[in-house]
Amino acid sequence: MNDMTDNPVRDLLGAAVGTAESGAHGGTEELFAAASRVRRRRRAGVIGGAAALAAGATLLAPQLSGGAAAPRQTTTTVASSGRQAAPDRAVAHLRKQLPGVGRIERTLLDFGAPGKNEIIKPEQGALEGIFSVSKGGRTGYFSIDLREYGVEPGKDPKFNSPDYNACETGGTADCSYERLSDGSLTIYRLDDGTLVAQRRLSGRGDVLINDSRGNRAALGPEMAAPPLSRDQLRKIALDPEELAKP
Amino acid sequence: MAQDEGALHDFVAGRRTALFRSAFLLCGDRDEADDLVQTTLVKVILGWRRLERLDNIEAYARRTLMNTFISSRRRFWRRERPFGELPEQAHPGVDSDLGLSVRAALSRLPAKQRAVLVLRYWEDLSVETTAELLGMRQNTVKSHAARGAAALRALLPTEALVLQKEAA
Repeated sequence: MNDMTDNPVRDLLGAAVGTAESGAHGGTEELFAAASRVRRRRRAGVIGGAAALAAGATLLAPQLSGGAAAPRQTTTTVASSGRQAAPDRAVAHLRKQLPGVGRIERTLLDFGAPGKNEIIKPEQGALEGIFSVSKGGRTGYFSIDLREYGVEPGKDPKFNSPDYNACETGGTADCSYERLSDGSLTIYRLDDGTLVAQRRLSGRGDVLINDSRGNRAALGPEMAAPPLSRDQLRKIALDPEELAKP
Repeated sequence: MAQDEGALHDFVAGRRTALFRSAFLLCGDRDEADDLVQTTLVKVILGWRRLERLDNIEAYARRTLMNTFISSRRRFWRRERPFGELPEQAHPGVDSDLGLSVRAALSRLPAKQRAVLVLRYWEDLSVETTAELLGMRQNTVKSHAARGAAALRALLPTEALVLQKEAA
């Protein structure tokens, strides 16, 4: 590093970047193809949304004309999601396990991030999904995801070991690590107050739960704090139902 | 129109590495930086027809990168990695001891402060342009830059600062 400048902060940032190159495969064509897919999906969403509105109007019309008051629908759903409105075992289970936290509903948040994070995989655990929690006019959410190891090629295997204690490295706020008979549980807090629970399952994968104050754009006013307390987060992370088949 | 498309292709190809390096400073993680750049460039491709000039695209790309990064810190866990995993994933040609220490220190700064540091000191933008891109007042940018630089130095282990002096 002989090219030090008279700006020490820039030099430090330069050292942090080094000679880093993007590891993304594919050229610009891949990006243009991704943009085309987003355009197509937006169009499909508009058409799907219109179809759903039409279907909703058809369903509501007889009730309105008959004068009967329709029950108020408070479920947060995305019309074009394709998810069937079948009785939701996960929601029922979570409501039972988390009394008093607020109204729990399954939801879908569009994070609008095409690319690797957009890969849609089949749900592996009975409780997987994103769940909104509404209380006092504010809405937070928590997400549950079961991941199998091997989805991140190139990752050092030691980070998947239940013995790996991320709290020891510092940097994570309110971090707790607990060794379990079948793995470990780490809970920590992100910059924005979100609580994250990571349960490592020896040799299998991990359960990740994100406990967030909300997403104003998608869910409305955010909560002052994540909807689940640390104890509730731990309870759900260790719930045997996590590992049951959907 | 074909000429415009060509200019857009050139822009995307030409700016990808520079955007990746800024994203890498923001995220501290190569995979996340790749995702951030891809998201940014896809948004640029989708929105470029609304932008009349190429320098507008440049500003739009920077703004999109920063906004996507900052909002990702309020989002889903998929966008977050436990801090402990960041500095230990060595990559050839990238990870000097000083580099690892700086990335670890950066990851402890608030997202907006990181964004200001990257725009002001890495991309060498003026206070005015940084403020405009991030939708902040100029005084806020100045304060974030000063506090961020001080915090960065304070968070770095003494050995890293010695390394920096030796390298100079």
